[in-house]
Amino acid sequence: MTRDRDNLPPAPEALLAGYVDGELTAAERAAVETRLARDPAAAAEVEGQRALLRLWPTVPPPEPSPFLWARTLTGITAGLAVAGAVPTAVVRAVKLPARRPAWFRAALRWTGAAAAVLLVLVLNPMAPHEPAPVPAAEPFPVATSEDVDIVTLNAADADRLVVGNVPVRGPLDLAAPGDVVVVSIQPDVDGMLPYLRIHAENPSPMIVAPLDPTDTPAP
Amino acid sequence: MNRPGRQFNGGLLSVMAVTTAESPPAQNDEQLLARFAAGDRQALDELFQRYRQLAYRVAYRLLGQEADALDAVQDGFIKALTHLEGFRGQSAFKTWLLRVVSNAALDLGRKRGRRESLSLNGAADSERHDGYPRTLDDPARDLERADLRRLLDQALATLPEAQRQTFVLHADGELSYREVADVLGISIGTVMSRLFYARQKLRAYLAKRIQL
Repeated sequence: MTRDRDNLPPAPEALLAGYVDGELTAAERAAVETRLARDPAAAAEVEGQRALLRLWPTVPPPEPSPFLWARTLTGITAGLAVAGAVPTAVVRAVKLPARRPAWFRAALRWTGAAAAVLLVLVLNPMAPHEPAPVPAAEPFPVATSEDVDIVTLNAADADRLVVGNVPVRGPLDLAAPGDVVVVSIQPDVDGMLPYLRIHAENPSPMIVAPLDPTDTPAP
Repeated sequence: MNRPGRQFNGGLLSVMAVTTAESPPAQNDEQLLARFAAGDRQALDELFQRYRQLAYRVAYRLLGQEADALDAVQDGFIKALTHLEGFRGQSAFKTWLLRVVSNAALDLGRKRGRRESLSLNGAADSERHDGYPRTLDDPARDLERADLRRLLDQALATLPEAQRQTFVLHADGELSYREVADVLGISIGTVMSRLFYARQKLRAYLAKRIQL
C-alpha cells in the first residue's frame, strides 16, 4: 500500500485503525503485527474495532419513501432553477417565472395570430382560408408546498388540496405536556402521524392549537 | 400491438432481454455533468439516482433524522451542482458531493440541533433491567432494529463533530483515507487518528448496551 509521505507519521494508536482498514504501508503493517503479538490490549482494540465495522452496515438508516425521494429531487430542481443552474425548460416546469400581466400576454398572442394570418393572405391570396395557427401551449405551472402559503381553508375542502398544507386554525398556546389531552390523531397529507411528546415527565413545553369547542363531537 | 410491459404469459424473459439490449451503457460522472451543463434534465435525475443513497446515508448519520437528512441532501446537491468549479479537476464528483452534503448536514445540525430523538436521556431505555447487556446473537432478546439504529445514532452524537464527520465519511460515505483527507483538508495521519478515537468512543458507548 502506498501513501504519500508528506504527512507526519501517525501515532502508534492511530496505526491500529489504519491496520483494521488495510490502509497501512507494508512497513507500518509489519510494525503493528509485531505489536499485536505482544500487546493483548492493542489486539483487543483491533478486534473491537473490527466488530464495530461489521455491525455498522447491518443497521442502515431508514429508507425514505419514493414520495420523499421525489420531493427531494423536486426541491433540488427548484433550487437549481433559482440559482440559474438549470435550463429554461426545467425552470418553467418547476418555478413560476416572472410573468407579464395576463392582458399583455393575451394581446401578444392575438397579435401573433393576426400577423400569421396576414402573412398567409399576403403570400398566397388565392389559397383557401385556413384557421389561424394555434399559439403554442404555455408551460404548465407547477408549485410545491413551499411555494404556497394557505391562509384560510374551509374544513370541508381540506381533502381536496393538491398542494400546500392545511393551516392551523385559531390562536396557538404554549402548554406543558401535562396540560394536554390528545382526543384524536389524523395522518397528515403525506400519511404521516406526528410524534407526540405528551408524557408528563417530558419537561419541554409545546405549542398547541386549542380545540375549537364547536368541533367537539357529541358524547 | 402488445406492449412489452403488459405481456403475462412467458413474456417476462424476452422483455428483460429487450430491455437489457436497448439499455444505453452507463455514463460516467463527467459525461453526466456535461449533459447537465448542456441543459439535459435527465442527467440530473441520473446523478441523483446514482448518489442519493450515499449522500443520504452520510447526512442521516450526521443528523440522526430522516427529514433533516433529506434536507441536507437537497441542499448539498444544489450547492454541489451550482459550484462545480470548486471540484473540477481536483476530485471525483462523489467526493465533492459528499464533502458538500456532510458540511450541509453539520450546518443544519448546528442550526436545528440534533433532534430530541437522539437525546442521551433515552439511552437508558435500551439497557436491560437485569443489568446484562443484550446480545446481537439472540434474536429473542435482540433490540428491535429501530432501537439499535437509534442506539448507533446516540453513540454517534457523543462524538466531537470532527471525529463524527471523519468516521461517517469513511464508514458510510465509503471514502478512502486519501479521499477523506482531501475532503476535510487534513493529513492521512489525522484521518487515522480521528477514526481510531471515534471507534474507541463508539465501542465504549455501545459496549455498555449491547454485546459487540
